[in-house]
Amino acid sequence: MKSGKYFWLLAITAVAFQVSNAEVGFHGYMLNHSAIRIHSPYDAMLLRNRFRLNSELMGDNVYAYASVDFLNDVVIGDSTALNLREVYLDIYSSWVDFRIGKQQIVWGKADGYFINDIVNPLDLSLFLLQDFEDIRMATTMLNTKIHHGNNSLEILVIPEFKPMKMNFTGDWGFNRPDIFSVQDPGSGLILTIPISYGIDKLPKSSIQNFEYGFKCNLFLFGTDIALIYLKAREDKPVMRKAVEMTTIPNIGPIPTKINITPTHPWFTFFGANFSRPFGVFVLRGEGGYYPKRYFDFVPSDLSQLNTGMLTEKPFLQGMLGMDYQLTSQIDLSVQGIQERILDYEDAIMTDEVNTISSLMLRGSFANDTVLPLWLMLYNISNKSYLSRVSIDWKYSDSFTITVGADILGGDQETTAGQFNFGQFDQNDNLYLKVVFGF
Amino acid sequence: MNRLISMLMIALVVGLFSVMSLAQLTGRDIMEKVSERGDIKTEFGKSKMTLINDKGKTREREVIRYQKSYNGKDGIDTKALIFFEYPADIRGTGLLLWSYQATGKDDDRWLYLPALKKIRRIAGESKNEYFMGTDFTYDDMGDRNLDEDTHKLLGREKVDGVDCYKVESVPINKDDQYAKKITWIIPDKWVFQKVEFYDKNGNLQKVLTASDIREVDGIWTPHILFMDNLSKTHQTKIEIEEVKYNGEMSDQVFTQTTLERGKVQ
Repeated sequence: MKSGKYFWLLAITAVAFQVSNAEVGFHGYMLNHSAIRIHSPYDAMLLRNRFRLNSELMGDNVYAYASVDFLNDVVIGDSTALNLREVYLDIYSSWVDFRIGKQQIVWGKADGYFINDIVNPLDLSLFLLQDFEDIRMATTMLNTKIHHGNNSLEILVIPEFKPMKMNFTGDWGFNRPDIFSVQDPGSGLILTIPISYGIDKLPKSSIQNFEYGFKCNLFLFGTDIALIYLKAREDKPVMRKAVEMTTIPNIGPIPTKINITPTHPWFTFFGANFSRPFGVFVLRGEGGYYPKRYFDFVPSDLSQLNTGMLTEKPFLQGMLGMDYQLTSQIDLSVQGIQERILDYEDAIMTDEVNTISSLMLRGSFANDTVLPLWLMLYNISNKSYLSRVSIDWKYSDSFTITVGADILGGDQETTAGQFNFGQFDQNDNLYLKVVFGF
Repeated sequence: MNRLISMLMIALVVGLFSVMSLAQLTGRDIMEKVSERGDIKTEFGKSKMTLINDKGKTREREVIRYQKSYNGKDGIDTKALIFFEYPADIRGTGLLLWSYQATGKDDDRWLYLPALKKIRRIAGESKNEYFMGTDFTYDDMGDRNLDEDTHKLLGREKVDGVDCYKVESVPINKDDQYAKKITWIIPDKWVFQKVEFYDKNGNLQKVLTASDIREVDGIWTPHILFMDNLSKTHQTKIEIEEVKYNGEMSDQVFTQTTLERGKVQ
């Protein structure tokens, strides 16, 4: 991995020297991000120092970019790390552009939710406490964009697979069960079986495992339309289960352990999105359809344990949103999101329908120097919510202070890794960000 | 000698006709001359914006602007692309504007925010929203169709010692951000010296003044623009560092691909 990073740095340096009239630019920021729990035990949830350096090399038809983070976490792991966030090379021509390297792709129109925006895996190790540019993890790929006017076709070839980053312990650990209860059909007894989680099996980087996709961007009748196809592997692990049986004399075989192996099977995705202004409103929407996706399945009794406890079902997602300028200084955005498992069976652990609504009020006062925000994400299906209130104060062009609070609550019951705000009910926090940009 | 007298007579007649035709100019004629000044097909500008608050504290922005006139081709009047180059926190932010000839047809607007890596569509009617902390609204940034206002010549008046036409422009759409604008125009240069913007209550909201007016590629161009926002006690000064007219400019500049790219190759 390290050699890969050095390769890119060398490649960019080489290009810089080759490009005539190349300009070099450096910018970035220093950040201190602190968060404290606002109820007992009032402990520090995050003390993070970051130095981000973005460097650019600009030639006539070539552009290179590298973004490096020096990250020091005092609370989480007490660690210091160097992270090459993004590094890519752009080559432009009059009708086709190439971007090769570690990059982020944003395909969706939704705010705070990922329906079409599924190319890059997510870093949910701090759930939604990080900025979105840090939640989305860059991956190495070749991005080819053929363009004509306001229409274009993007083609992605993604040789690197990277899984979603999520914790199962700590403040932002997702719930996952350690035991499984099932009824023995013979005796009628409820058996409690321990669960053992194996190591995530990542696919090898070979041509057969290259992910790929395309997005067709059209501007038709004043409407921005995108059509998406993606063939990729699940970033969020699909948990394959194998049951260990032990034969007890006079009773027979009984399950004594469930071994779970995280896997990343292929999926096919068809998506579309649009945005269009109507007077003072902007209407946005996006949808996604998976013909086949894996869902955890709860066997009704012992005889069904060997089914792998997974079932394949089609899956549908949709979002409709609207942006409206409430006053000259306040913008309002509302969204309604629904996910639905088609051909549903009651034994599936995930709910058939998941409905989420969001509301965002964003202000801009004192000529963009005071920027208040209120974001509310409410999961109607499991009655959980995230409410974020923050205010940015831009003291100068380079110095910004942000004070905010995240309040999470609602139903805490969830299946492993499910996007439920209630499971982080104890994580209400007050945060402070101090940023010096250069 | 006769030849000289003839030439003087012709010059006198031509001059007289010119004076008569200018004397008969309507408010709309004057604004049309400003709009069509020098027959600008394309425009490239690099400028520095200084934002000044009521305590005199300043912030700076560096902006690059591309504009192309389409003269009604596919219904389009002008297309413009604006990039912020400085400061670092808004570097790469871009605005793409397509203005249409048809009166009443809203502009198409796209805003690219590098932090979100996303192009956002902006409502064409969100006209009273200030652009990136400046005292210019999104509507001020775009090209306004002449027929969106009724123009009335109020007479002539001196501004900073310069004799100007004084034209009042009242929007046809009563929902427009301004109740009226009064513009002082320098006759021989067809460039404005001063603009007053009045709010819906008839109060003077903003005053825009132009100075350091120089000829570039045969077109008179103000190199300093100063917007005094009286309602917010805030000011924006724009200093044009570089301007070029009628250079080669591809249609591909004014697309979402270029907006997302953050630069014009």
